[in-house]
Amino acid sequence: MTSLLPARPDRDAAPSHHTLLVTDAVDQGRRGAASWVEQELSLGSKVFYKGWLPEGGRADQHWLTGPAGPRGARDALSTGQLEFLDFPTLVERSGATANGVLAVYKGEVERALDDLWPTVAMTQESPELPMADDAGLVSEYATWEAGFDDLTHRWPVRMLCQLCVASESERAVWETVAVHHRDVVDGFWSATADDGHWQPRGDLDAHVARRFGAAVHGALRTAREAEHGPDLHLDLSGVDFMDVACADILMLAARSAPAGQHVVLHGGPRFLRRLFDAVGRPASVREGGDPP
Amino acid sequence: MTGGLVRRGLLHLGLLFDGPDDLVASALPTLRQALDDGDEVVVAADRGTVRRLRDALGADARRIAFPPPAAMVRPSAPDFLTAVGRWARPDRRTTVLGQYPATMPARDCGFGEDALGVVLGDLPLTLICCCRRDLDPELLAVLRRTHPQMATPTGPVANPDHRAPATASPTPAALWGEVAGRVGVQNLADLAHLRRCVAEVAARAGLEGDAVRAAVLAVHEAAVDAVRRGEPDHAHLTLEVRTLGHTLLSELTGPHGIPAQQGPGDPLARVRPFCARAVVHDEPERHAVRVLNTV
Repeated sequence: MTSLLPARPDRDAAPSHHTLLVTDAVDQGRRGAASWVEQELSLGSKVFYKGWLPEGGRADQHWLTGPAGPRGARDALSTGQLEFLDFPTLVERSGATANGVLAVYKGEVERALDDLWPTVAMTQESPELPMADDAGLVSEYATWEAGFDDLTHRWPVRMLCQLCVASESERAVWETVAVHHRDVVDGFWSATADDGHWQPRGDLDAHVARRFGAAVHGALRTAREAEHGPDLHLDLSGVDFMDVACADILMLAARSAPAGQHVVLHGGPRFLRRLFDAVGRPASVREGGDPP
Repeated sequence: MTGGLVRRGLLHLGLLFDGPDDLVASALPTLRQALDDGDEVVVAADRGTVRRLRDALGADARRIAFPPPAAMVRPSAPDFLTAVGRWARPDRRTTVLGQYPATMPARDCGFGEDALGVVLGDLPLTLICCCRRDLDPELLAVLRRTHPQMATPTGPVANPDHRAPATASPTPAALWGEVAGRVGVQNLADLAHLRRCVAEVAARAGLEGDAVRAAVLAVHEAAVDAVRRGEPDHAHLTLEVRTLGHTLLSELTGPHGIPAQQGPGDPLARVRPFCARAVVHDEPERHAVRVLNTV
């Protein structure tokens, strides 16, 4: 199979990543997803899109192929560069278990690579999983998301998980952001992890405080299990603004960390230390050197 | 003696008098309370008033400082706010009694008196501003308009003639100049615009580094409180930022009142560590709130 557009390497685009895109409303999420899909199509990636269809609808009736969708989506759907799978079918094929979900994704990746697509782009809309009522589902979800990490480590796979806050329960938002703390984009703030350092960036304010708190908890949880753990090395050099709500959450998370785990601060403006002192900096928060 | 008035922040009393006996009778309840509470007390009055006050207070008068009236800064003076701010002590309350000079321009006096409540409303000060009834009627009108309470022989009482500076009052503009930045806020998602507005004005005013960060954070926190008290997504807040030299005055107005309490329930507790002053003006009759910060 050949791609609609010739594949060309994008020196700026990482060969693989697993990113969470958080948005407050459905239309914001669609704009972000459309932009991402459009870029992947132009880069010549094979794109797998999973989402919700109106009842009785067909893939070519999804918003993705309408005016709000990415340029070229309708053509890509007809040529096979873009494949759409609706969530009910995914649940049917996977049994909503971690192994089942990963088998579906792995099968898609292998098929695309067999067809000689240079990269595989996979994205799914906010899944509206009933996590609030099902602790077992939370565990399965964490397992398949870890499996997505493996996919992106082994193959040239770029994965964009979409999270629409308006569509999800608080528990689902919390778990989703915590699991994705290594690579999350949420409006004016984002976070990445590299070389054992977790780096939030941008504006951290009351509007996103709960999501930031979830990411902090995810980062602390991961640090405990990491080779370089259990301390969480926090690189603050990319933080443009942090308010009292987010500072409070960060200090509370550090205070409630198990004995022996510290939050080690690297970089960032001196003013942030003044803010931490104002809300109450616990002994478990330490100063480190400059970030690498 | 305080008639139920709680002594927190600025207590700004007006006092109208015909002569020294009249002045002393109206001031005594407040001054006695101040002495009982261990306040630092300063009385800058004419010699007749000082004499009668010494007689009335006896040995307690020795705990009062009596500088000459000419040593006191007038409300109409450009450095009035700075001088008043210096009277405040971190460890105890200061009570100051002063008299309006007959030659003071009423308009300038009004700006100064209004500004006290607007800018210095959280300072531990009791001010007793005294005006003879035979002075310029416009000066009398200023005293009646600008003081929330009046000192009387039975103690401070609420002043029905008091009018807090309106949101659109020329007072802030006259003190601080034209609005340098203005932005509307409906919900928490709008706060990024608010922060940008404050940061831009602060930078234009010559603030740098941590001073800008503190200004932005103080106004942001005030807005977070106000938004959370409003209807979701319809806070109807307006931020106006003014500058005077390297000082920023940010005024946040909205329809939802903030209980003006101090201590553990202080609604501005998150704001105060990052600014020089933060004051709530709750005007329920107009459903307007002003939060001001100088940084």
